[in-house]
Amino acid sequence: MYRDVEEMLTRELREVADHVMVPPLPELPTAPPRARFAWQPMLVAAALVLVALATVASLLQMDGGQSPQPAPQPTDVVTDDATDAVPDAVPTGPPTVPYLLDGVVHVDGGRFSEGFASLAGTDAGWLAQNADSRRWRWSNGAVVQDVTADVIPQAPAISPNGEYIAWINAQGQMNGFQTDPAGEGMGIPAEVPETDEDGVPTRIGAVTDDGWVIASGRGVSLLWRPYVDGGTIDLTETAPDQQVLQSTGAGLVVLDATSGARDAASGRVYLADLTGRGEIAPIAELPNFGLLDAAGDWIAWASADVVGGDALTYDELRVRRVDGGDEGVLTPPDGWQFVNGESGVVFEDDRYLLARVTDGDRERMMRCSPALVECVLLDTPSADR
Amino acid sequence: MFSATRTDPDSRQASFEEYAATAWPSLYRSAYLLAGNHADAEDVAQQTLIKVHGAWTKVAASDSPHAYVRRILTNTFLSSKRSKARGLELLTDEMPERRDAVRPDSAGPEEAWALWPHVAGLPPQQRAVIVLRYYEDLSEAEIAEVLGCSRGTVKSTAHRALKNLRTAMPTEGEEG
Repeated sequence: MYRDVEEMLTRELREVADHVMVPPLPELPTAPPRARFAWQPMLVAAALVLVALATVASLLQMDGGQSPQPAPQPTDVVTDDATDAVPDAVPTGPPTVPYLLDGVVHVDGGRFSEGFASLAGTDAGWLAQNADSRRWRWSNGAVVQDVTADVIPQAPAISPNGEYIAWINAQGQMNGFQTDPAGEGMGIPAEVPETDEDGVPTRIGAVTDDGWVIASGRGVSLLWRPYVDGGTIDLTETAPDQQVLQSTGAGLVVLDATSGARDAASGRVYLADLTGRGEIAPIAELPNFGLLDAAGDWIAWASADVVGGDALTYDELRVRRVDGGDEGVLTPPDGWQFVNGESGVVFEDDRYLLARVTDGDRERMMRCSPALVECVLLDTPSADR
Repeated sequence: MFSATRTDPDSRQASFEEYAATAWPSLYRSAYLLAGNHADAEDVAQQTLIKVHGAWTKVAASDSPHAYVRRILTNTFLSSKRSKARGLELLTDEMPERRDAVRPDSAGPEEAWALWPHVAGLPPQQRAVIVLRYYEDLSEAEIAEVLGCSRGTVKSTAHRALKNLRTAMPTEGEEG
């Protein structure tokens, strides 16, 4: 039996606070705060903004000769406000996270036309694979660049918040960096087995929003915390036979391989957190899936028999609350189907998800509300615009 | 306590200093609970006061200066990158500060603070939610306001933090 954790927390936090030795008040600023509307800093800031805008415009111009797109019009944009009331209708404004349409990455009104095959991340940082060269490219603004010069046999990964990217090179070294322009690298690379028990190159299972990196494979599971102490924890010892498959906005997706399960299509899968000691703390059971994303209180998935094999499209996406309630089925409008491909479904925030759909001729983005069990097509630009 | 109505620079400065002197102990205690060690707590609390000083006119004019400052403190903690500096500290021969450095000499049985070491080991966002909920006694809506996120996010973050703590803490039978 556990004691009542909440009661203990209340008591312990107060006791700890009461016993803290408070140091003397440090020396404080002596000058009065600067007036809020001083002209000189405003002029400097305005000049910097103009320079930045000009730079962005010129770089976008260089990107495949495409003209920069106008900033999205203010509409009923999705916001993450402090209330979770069920919305009256699904907003129709432009997506608020990067999206991939006809091989073009669209980010905050800008477009990158390299011919991308996949996309993940946020405005803070995104990661995409070039369909032709198979090179992994990333960006945190106007410039797109290679993730690494290393040969990377498996896909790199980006944290759900877009702030960290990590990969494993062909020598079995785990490395990465922060996507923030002032961010830092992950330091001395961590060694991982080059291949797992199946002889498959070890991959990055997940990168968390705190910059923790988990290398995964069959019989390989390693937690690396480069921005904490740089140390690694062998998760095969602290959480035997538990394989981290992916990171979502609602937690890590973990496969319980104790019964020999090899993928999420058949074995027990669950949403979990990872402690600093390498223990996996389950949050909720997940259904078997072929593709899945989660954020806040919601999960969305399609089963493996729906998206497996050669299927280019599929008709249904299932949703339910993390706690198992409010299950529903999302379907595109008549004549449209979900595109079965990389980055086809992603949660935009805790309330809405974005999906790429096709009518067999062209692709469009669609926004869905799991709470309303409703989807709307968005007026996103086509590839030739 | 400071006055929110005085506006001339000299009295405003005196008012900020007055506020800082009064608020420092509680500000520091909150920072300690968030950061889990004195070095980071001092940094976070000091940074917070500097930001409060810079925004003093707004802070003093707000309906609840305490809530305003708490938001600055929490977000200063969350955006701080002190974890990297702590990583560097581990490269020295010095032992890292013990999590129980605040334990009084007359501490009770070992299990008296069975959770605190694990709270300090939670990811920052989860720690912030725990401190705001169980120390500051804020509601989910108030925490969402402080963190600038939805109530659902607060709820799921708290749920995950409590799960982590339950996993980490010993069961009754294991306690000495």
